[in-house]
Order: sequence, then C-alpha cells, then structure tokens
Amino acid sequence: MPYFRGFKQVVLVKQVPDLTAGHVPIKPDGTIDRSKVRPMFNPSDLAALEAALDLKDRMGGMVFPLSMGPPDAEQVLRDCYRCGTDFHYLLTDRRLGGSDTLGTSYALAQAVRYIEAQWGPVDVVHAGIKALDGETGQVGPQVARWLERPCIPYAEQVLDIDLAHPKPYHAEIIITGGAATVRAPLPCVVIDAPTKYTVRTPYASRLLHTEGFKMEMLNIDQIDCVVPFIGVDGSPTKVWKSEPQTSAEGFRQTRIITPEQIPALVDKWGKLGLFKAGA
Amino acid sequence: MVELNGWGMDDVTGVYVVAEHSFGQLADVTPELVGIGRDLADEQKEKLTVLLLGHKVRHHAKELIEYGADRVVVCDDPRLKDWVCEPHGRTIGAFCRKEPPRSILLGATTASNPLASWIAADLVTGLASVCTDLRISDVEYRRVILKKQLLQKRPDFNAIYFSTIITPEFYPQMATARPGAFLAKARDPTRKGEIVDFAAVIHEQDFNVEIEHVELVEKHVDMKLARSIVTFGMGIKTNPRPALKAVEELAAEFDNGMVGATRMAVEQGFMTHDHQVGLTGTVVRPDAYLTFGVKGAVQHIVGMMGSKYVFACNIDKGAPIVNYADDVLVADLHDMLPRVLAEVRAWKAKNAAPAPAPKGEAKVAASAKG
Repeated sequence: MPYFRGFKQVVLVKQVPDLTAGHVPIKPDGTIDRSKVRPMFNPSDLAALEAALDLKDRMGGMVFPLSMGPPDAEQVLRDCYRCGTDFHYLLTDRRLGGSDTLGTSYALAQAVRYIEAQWGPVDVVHAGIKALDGETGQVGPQVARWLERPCIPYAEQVLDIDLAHPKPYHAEIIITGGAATVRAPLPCVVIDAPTKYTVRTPYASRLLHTEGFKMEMLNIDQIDCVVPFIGVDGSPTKVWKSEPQTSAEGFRQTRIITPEQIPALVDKWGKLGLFKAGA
Repeated sequence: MVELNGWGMDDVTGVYVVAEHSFGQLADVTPELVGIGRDLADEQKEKLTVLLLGHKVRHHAKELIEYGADRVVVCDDPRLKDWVCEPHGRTIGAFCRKEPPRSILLGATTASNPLASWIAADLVTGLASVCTDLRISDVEYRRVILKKQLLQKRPDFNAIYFSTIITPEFYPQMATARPGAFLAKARDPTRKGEIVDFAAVIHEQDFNVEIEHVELVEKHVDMKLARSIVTFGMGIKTNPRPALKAVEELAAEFDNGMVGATRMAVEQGFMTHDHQVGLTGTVVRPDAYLTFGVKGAVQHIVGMMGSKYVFACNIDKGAPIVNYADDVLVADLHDMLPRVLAEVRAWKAKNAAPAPAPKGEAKVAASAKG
C-alpha cells in the first residue's frame, strides 16, 4: 500500500469539447457530436489545477488529478502532469456515459474515497467553478455533500495553511457584492475561482520525460459506485429538447456594417432619441 | 450506499423558493423567483412557499408575502448569519423531508448556486442551472406522456444552444433561475399569507466554514439606471488610455449614458467593479447597449441580452457577441472609437433641434480607476 504521510490534494479536471471556436455540431438527441469537435482542457479547471500546485509549492506533498470521461481524457491528465502533478486517476466506464451532475459528482466522490484508500486521507479536493460544456457549476458542491466535507465556494487565492490552527485552510473568497476571507478545517472541498489563478507554464523536463507520467484507470466496480442514478438512463435530468438560439431570447438578426456606414448608424441612434440633449 | 428519496408524483406538493439576502436586503433575484414561483403554483393550484433562512431576517417575511408567497417558512438563527452551504442546506433538506415539494427554485447567483447544488445532492434529485424560462406542462418523452413536468429552459453549450431539461421520476424538480430572466410581481400590501417558524437543523460539523472579514465593493454607480451603456472589453488592452477616454466621452454623449466593462477588464483594473456588466456584476436591460472589444463570454451575455438594442464593434467576426447584436462593425475599436465619437458629435451639431426630453437627470459616467 503506497500510504503517504504528506499533504495530499485531489484536483478534479475534465476534458470538454472545444466550444470556443464557432459552430457546435449537435446530434438529434440534443447532445454534442464529440467526434466532430476537438477536445480541450476545461478552462475553469486550470484554476483548480493551479490552486493545487500553489498549495503543493507551500506544503509539499502530492497532487492527484482525477478525471472522469472516455479513455481519451488521459490527455488532460497528461496536461496536469506537465505542470507538476504526481499520480493520475482516470475514471472511465461506459455505464457512466451520459451521467448528469448527480451521478458524476457521486462517482467522483467515490473515486476520491478510492484514492484515500490507496494513499491515506486527502486534505483538499479542488474543483473548477464549472464545465464549458454543461455550464452548471454543480459538481464541486455536490462532491462536498457526498464526502460530507465543508465546501468553500469561489476561492480566489489561498492566504496560508496553518496546520497549528484548528481551521488551517485560510483563503480569500468571492461573495455577493464583494470579497471575504474564510477559514475552514481540513479536509475540505474548494471551488477555485479563475479570477486570480493562471496556470503555470509546463515544465520542460516533464515535456521531455513523459515516462514519469503515472496513471491508474478506474471503473465503477472498483470504486463501489453501482447506484441507480448514473448513466443516461439513471440520470434525474433529461434533455427534452435542444434548439439553436436563433429562435431564443437575446439572439438577434445581426447586420454586419462597414466603417463607411458609421454615419448611417449614428443617424439611427440619433433618431432613436438616445443622445443627450444639447451639445 | 446512497438511497433514492423514493418520492413519487403524489407524494409531493407545492413550489418552494429559497430566499437569498445579504446585509439586510433581499437579493434582486428573490422577488423574481417569487414571481415565477407564483405562476407555477397557480398553474397547478398549489401553494407557493418561500424558505427564509438567516439571522435577523424575519422582517423580509411580509415583503415576500406581498410579492406573492402563500407561506413563508422562517428559520431565524444566529448560527445562520453567514451564507454557508452546510447549515443552510441541512436545514432546507430537513424541511423538504418533512414536507416534500414538487419543485424548488433558487437564484443562479454566486451565493445560491453552490447551495442549490448541495441541496440537490442531499435530496438525491436533479437540478437544472441558470434557467431562463420555466413552465409546467404535460410532455411526451420517449413515447410516454409525462404529467405536470417542470420544463426548464437554459442556455447550453456555451450559450450557442438552448436546452429544455425535464426531471421525470425524480422529485423535487429543482432549478436555478438566471437573475433578470423573470419579472417580479408588483408588491401588494394587502396580500395575506402565513408565516411559519422552523427550527434550524444543523449538525455540529456544519459550522466548519467560517467567514471572517467581509469586504464589500462600494457601489458608486448603479448600472441598472442607465438608459444607454457603452461597454468595453479586453479588446482595449493594446492601447488602453485613448480608448478608455473615448469610451467615457462617448457614454457622456448619450442620454443617461454610462460606461460598462467586462469582468476581465475590471480585473485588469481598467474600471471599478460597480461598472461590471454580467452575472458577477450587474444584469442590465438598457435601451441601447454598445460594446467595443467585447468578445461575449456567456456570463457577460446573460447580463446584457435583455437590452433593447445592441451594437458591437469587434475585430473578430466569430466572437459570440456578434450573435447578440443588432449591428456589428467588424473592425479594430482603436480606429473606430474616435470615428464613432466624431460622428455622434457631428450628428448632434447638425440636428441641434431639441432632442426628445431626457428621462430624469442625465448622468455623466464615472471616471476610470487609476
């Protein structure tokens, strides 16, 4: 058993389809046709990764990136490795395919427990604020609920980890209308906000020496996650209909104009009565 | 092992709204939730209950009834003074187990989104986030007619598609609503409702997260009052000083014009937070919304998509903002800003005839930080 006494962190990362570039191919059932889009590292999770690495710089110890997805999601774990993470877990199981956040968060929580059975108690679990392809922002708080650990939403930066303090975790968080500092005990689940964290440049040594990458693949039998609310059929939420936003609120009939048309544009604004009276 | 809550359609009744408040004020989204919750409850001829948790919050109860609640469940406890997931979630979960609701609505806000997620896991049910439309109807799904489904419409896939989510077989059906997506009902001081007390149900470990110092960002301007907003994004960074000056001057030419900024621009220190438009800033619906160098991240889009007229100047024709604008100028803002500004001034000089009377006092946009 590779029990490890040092500071341990898990960071939840996700591979998402790259929706930042234009057209998104949608299958008739309302899901993204993933064969036609490039995969990418979920942008919000980069903050979670950097937050974990930042803590590792201060505390030492190990960082375990954990991802759930198809076998190809190994790529995001390799990205983590290049930035300095230690041992990687990929939860990949067909029975999990199409799970919504409830099943996903439960599976991830069970995988965290699996990691703890291997290495000992994990001090901090990091999650990004949301995934690019779902935009729900639910997984982090739900993992906290399943693990029955305190949830710290929207941490902007860690101030310090004082292990002598009864609540060692000390960070700045975003709250409605401003910011606050927060203290929490370990272990805890932190949702890292991307406002101040920018992920570091990959280490050249790790780019060159990929043989240091260590990963374990998990399925749901190993992590004791055979529950009724996973997979397409088990998920509580179903996509009943998916429609392009052309018919929806906010989407407009766009008119492209050239700089030569600025006078006509300004005339239109003027006639709408938008300008302040007087010179 | 986690067990399902086992509630069926006949075990649940009523719509619950979780009130959000901070520093003695209800969040804007709460009356909106009560408004849509009222409609949903009426459609099913069921009750609308608002759950009001916190410390010294009882005075909001009457206000919530005036907005449309049938019943307000007050849980006033000094231990609930900070907005932390665990004690709030545990108490709401306990109340829902006592009286299972058909649906629960919360705001899609910084404070309520983690709480909503937490509660959904606690009750082992589904949650649709950031909904912009909520209805109850019978629907056909996989050739089966499902009765009284909550149809939860939300922007999906980076705001390129809209999905309608249903939660068949699981109760309660939970949703968070985008601030500004629903309209609050007018307050009716004569409305009668029930105010019930509920004791907080909190485990000792729920007090683990401790909020220490709170620093509020002071608001000097209220973007909601603007009639026109000139917003800039990170497109200005290549030559910020003259561009910023031009943005401010342009805003000042508009009737009740104000300067807006994206989150990135605010974080980079180009403007103070009170000018930020979007989910983490202010949700606005002005008559005219002009953007320069704004890409259109979804958090920004949902903060401005209610505007009557939208103009975008962006160098990238593929930027998401293009889909949400009426007129789009594909060009470099550093060249275009001075031209637009000069043209506006020329137009005003030429059309010196009295313009339509301005509504209220025209405000000059506040100046930039630094």
